[in-house]
Amino acid sequence: MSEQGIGAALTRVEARDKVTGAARYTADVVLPGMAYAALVSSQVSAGRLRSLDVSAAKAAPGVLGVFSHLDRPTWHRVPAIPYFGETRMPFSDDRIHHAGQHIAIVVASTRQQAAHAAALVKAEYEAGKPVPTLEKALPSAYVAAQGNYVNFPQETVRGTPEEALAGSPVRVKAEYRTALISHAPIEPSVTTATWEGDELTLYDTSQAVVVHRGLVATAFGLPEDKVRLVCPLIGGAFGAKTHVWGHTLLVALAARRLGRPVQVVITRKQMFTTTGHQPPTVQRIEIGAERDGRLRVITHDSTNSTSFVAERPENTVLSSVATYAVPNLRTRVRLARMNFGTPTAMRTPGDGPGSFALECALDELAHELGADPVELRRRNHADVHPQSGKPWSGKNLLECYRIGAERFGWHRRDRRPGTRREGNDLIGYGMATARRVEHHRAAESTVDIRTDGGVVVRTATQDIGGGTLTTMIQVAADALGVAPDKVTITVGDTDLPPGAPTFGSITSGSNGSAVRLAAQDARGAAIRLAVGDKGSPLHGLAEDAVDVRDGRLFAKADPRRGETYAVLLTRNRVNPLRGNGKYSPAESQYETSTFGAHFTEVRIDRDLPRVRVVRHLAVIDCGIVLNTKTARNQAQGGIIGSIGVALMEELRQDPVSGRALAPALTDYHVPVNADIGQIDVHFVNKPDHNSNPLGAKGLGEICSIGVSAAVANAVFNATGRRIRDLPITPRRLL
Amino acid sequence: MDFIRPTSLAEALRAKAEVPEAVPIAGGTDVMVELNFDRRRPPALLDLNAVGEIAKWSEVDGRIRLGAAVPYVRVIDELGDRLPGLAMAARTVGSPQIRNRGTVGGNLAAASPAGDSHPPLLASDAVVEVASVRGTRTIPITEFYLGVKRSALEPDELITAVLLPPADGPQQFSKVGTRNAMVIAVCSFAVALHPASGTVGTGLGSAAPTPRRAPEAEDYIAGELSALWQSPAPLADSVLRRFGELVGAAAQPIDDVRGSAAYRRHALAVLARRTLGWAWHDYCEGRVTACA
Amino acid sequence: MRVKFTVNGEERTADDVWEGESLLYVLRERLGLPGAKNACEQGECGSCTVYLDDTPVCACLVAAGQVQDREVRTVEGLGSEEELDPVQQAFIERGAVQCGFCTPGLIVAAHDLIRRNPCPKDAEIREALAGNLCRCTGYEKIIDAVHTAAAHSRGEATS
Repeated sequence: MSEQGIGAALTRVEARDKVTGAARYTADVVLPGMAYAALVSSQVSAGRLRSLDVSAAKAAPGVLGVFSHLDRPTWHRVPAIPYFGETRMPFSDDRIHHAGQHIAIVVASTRQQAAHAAALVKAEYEAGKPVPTLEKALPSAYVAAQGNYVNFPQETVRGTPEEALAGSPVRVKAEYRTALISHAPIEPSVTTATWEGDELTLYDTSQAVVVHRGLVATAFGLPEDKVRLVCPLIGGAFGAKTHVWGHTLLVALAARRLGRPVQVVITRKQMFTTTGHQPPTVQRIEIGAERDGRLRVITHDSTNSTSFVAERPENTVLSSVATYAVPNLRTRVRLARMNFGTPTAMRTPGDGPGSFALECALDELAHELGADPVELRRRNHADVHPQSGKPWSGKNLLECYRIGAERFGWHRRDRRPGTRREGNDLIGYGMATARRVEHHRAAESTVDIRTDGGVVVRTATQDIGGGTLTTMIQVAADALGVAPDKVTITVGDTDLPPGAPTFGSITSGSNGSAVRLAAQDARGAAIRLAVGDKGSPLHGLAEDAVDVRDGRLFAKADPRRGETYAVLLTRNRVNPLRGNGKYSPAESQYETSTFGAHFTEVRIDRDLPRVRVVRHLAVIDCGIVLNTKTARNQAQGGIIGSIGVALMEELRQDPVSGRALAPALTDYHVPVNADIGQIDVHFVNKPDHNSNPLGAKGLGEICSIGVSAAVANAVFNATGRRIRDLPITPRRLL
Repeated sequence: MDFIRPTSLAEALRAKAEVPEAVPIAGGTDVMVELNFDRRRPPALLDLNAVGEIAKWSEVDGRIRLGAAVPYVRVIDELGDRLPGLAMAARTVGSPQIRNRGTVGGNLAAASPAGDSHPPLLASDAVVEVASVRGTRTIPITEFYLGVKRSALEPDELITAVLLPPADGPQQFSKVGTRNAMVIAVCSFAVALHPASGTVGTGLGSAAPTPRRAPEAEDYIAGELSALWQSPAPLADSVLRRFGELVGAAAQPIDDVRGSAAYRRHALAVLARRTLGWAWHDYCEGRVTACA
Repeated sequence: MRVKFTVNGEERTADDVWEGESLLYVLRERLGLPGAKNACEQGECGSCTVYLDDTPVCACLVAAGQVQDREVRTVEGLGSEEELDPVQQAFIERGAVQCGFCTPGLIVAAHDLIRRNPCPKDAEIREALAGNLCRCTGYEKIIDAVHTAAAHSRGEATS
């Protein structure tokens, strides 16, 4: 195997287009005759539409059509969820389940005309009594039955948790809360729909074109091959584009009715209210331990909000199930319905809020025991998966702790809270463990070698910003033995071989494996062609006596003997030589996860009191790193996103109606450049070949898990104040 | 909608008289948001970008006459020495892009309690100059703000300038937000020392329905400083704290999405005591102004 | 109304412009220049940053009529086919681009910073780019890129 490609700090292949403005995103795609849509949002959060007067909108300049539940759209079927946002199809009745719900779609000749006409739609409501917040919904919380999104155990028992608690010499017990937070990608969601007869093409900001095609086909009662989904480039997603949301279906519906292409760019406000969010959680954790710090038992009870049109539990408790070696355990997840939009996956679903609770609780235990937080975690290291007992496919968590503590200077931490000061600033150190289950998905790819020596990778995955285009090229180049600049890639189109979704940290491992298999297939075929070809200098050699480097096949025993792919294929008139790769994850004897350790230093203005993260170090074990440049960058971004979650991000709700109070970037604050201190990332960088053929695992999620807990633990170290509610705002610290 | 593009103040005032509902637009940082979100559709936009008279500043009779359409970036670059408090506040407005376009005149016209220019204007006893075809009048800053987003401006009037004395002593401004830039103030505070008159001016932002001063705090600190102007000495911590408390007491904040009333009152007290401390320190060091 | 102005050195005319529409709308929807991105329409994200008479502004907050007879320069007007602007080049080299949606605005803002301040310090870069939200990269590479571009513009070789 050549070493070309994988791990190199290769520059992004699409970077030039992105810096010159030449890159085309979904909203930049203009189709001939395209009309523009705007969506009308419900102003109330519960009840029914008493009337909907669209006459003024219809009469407004440029308006081509206005559609609502009054037009009784005939959906073929509710797509199977997951990955369709809600169980209720848009416009299926006059019921209102949340403020911001789409109640009409207006289509006009220009975007402006559509937006203006949308403001002219007059709705009258028979307002119901909303369940406004998780707090108000808690009394009706329930354990959901399995099915749809409810695809993990809602209750787990290991050993005898109650007895273990009763017999524990040391116990800590606390309640933690995480806030309603929003993905806030810079690019809003966009769909353009165009029909030719019964064939639908969608240009859509989709994190999973292949999966979404099937869902759209179901909704319209079309065979899958009559639907094409195209996603050129995504301007950030973080989970907001994981599911098919109502606007995508409504635009397709409007385009069909009007017989012309229709595009919608949903508004920033609608991004906050109709494309999902991470639901708020209330989590109770109790830990029982021996005096030496060995964990005897954890109980973790978690409730999150969901909407009235979908059940979506956050798998927060997996943190307690799968992180530490603990013999006794009880977990339970409950749902509480509130009148808000449907929650969805957001970096990082389950483990983000779950690790906040667990890793803070562990810090509380360390404090109670007078133990060092890193040492406490080492002592409870899970050598095998604590629930299944299976071995890990690869785990270097202890190394993460060691490297992290050393590089960070953890020994300088003062165990006594509130003791380190500098001027007006209180200084604190905190740390936390990160762990994330690695998911696998079937994926396919082709790799073509052309007679000019060029290589084309084709696979229907998509690049949401993580660098997929580049890393897939590196994987192909590495397996083929060619320089990466000879390889081009086409993604984001269901006409290509079905690739993996770009969510849940699946892409690198699963789609990377498909590309690698395809490239190996092509390479093998080329070698077979050469050794069987009398015209080739390699004729007659055994296949395994041939290697490839820089696009040239050669005899291992005599590297001067050989020829290039280009010469071989040209002589044999094979153009292209295609390799096929199909990755199907098999039932494994191993448990696969990614791991990491976060270390953070905060400084807190004592009087105001505002928290700043001045220094953060993450040590991450995600198998082999495909591209050190894009990986470091992606990890830093994930860490900063989570610093936002720790310190500022919260979509606040009106306590009476439950509506989002300020669904805008002016008040939903994400960190700006000026907020950020020094963020360092270190990769263990050891391949995990037990996980997949490539040895690479996901990075998108693991980098942000545990960050909020590390910050909260540092705040405790700095102040002696334990803030158990996110975000840690000055108001809470006062 | 009409787009009116006067090239002189007289022309602009005539247009405003003819169509009082016309919305003046200079930097566009407030008006365009309303238009983009279809929150309002005025019959006309009155573009002030080509009205030269209000796009410059000058020194008139010992006062700075700051044209209403001078963008923040010029206040920062050109008036940091003469109007340090206002320049400091201008530096905290939005982003560079916003400061390149946004104006003090626009901030006044919007009359939002959170506007960043208001506290230093209050602390410096600014006067707002407004004009219409009926003539020009001046409004003391304390009489300009009438309520949340309401001002003393008449429908046919345009804000033409703000008049304020150049700093005669150290000035400071500070603002609390959830992040380090691009924030609408959770609360803000400005202080201006006036050694010549032995007085101290204050201005509070996001602290009440309108920007306001803290008269009791001003009286208290003027009394404390009366003996110290001639022979400056560090202020006792208790004095700074008392000043802060009185500033906090002057606030009538609300709970909203950006902060709670209790936090605002606390933070105002902290900002007041800190900014006074910095300004007094500058005075003791013999530095008249503190803005770089 | 009709609006005539210079875009990237070329005189352009847009007809039937609605009086309340933004420069961003004119650029993207009428003149086929989608480099500046539409992401918040309230000056909060900086994705639509362009030069107006050599001053960086949020194109979403400039009324179309306000650019009459003035000069606008967008990301498409920086550098050339043959030679990228040093800022563009540095963003590529330093890996300062992820999803790329905020990039056009950042490029213009960084370009302006380097013109005004040929040797910016970290804190100055952070302040100058505070109006350009990036949700992917974590900003460090962006700061590296600005340093690299500044050094290049000063004629220094960079490592």
